[in-house]
Amino acid sequence: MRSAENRFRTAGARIVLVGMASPPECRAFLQKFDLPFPMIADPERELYRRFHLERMSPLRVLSPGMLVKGVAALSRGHLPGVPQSDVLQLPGVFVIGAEDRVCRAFAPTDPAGHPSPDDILKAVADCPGGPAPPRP
Amino acid sequence: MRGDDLRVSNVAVTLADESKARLDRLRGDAVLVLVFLRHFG
Repeated sequence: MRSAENRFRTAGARIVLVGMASPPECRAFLQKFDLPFPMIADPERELYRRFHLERMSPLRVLSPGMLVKGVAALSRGHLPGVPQSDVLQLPGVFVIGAEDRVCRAFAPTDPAGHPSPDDILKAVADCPGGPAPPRP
Repeated sequence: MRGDDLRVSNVAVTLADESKARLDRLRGDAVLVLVFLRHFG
């Protein structure tokens, strides 16, 4: 996402991260990975629930498919750290456009099911955006 | 579709810098891409 930031900006999109962590933990995360995005601190996972993002079952974490994905991540140099917050919470990406409505939801059923930046950019292009109507 | 029943106009959030915001204000005139992360670590 970071490498695609300019493409998102050019497309008229603004990326905002949401993390299951306190504000200081989110600041440390942004600093550690040098991420230029605003970030919402959601330690109680209220926003995750509002967007109906589910938790996966513990058995899913231990499934052969997840093991294969974990080994693949290790081979790319992604070493596992000590997990913080809820390891069963699934991620997601939501594209929100005109009238502040969700026009595309990516809600994977496993944690490795991230949409690619190209997938998200296509959703942005297909999303009626622009200024929201004036509010009273 | 998940979230399609949700309007973000009145959703208040806390940002990493501890300021409060509303999602619609974060969107401004842009298309907002909300990226929900997994756990850190």
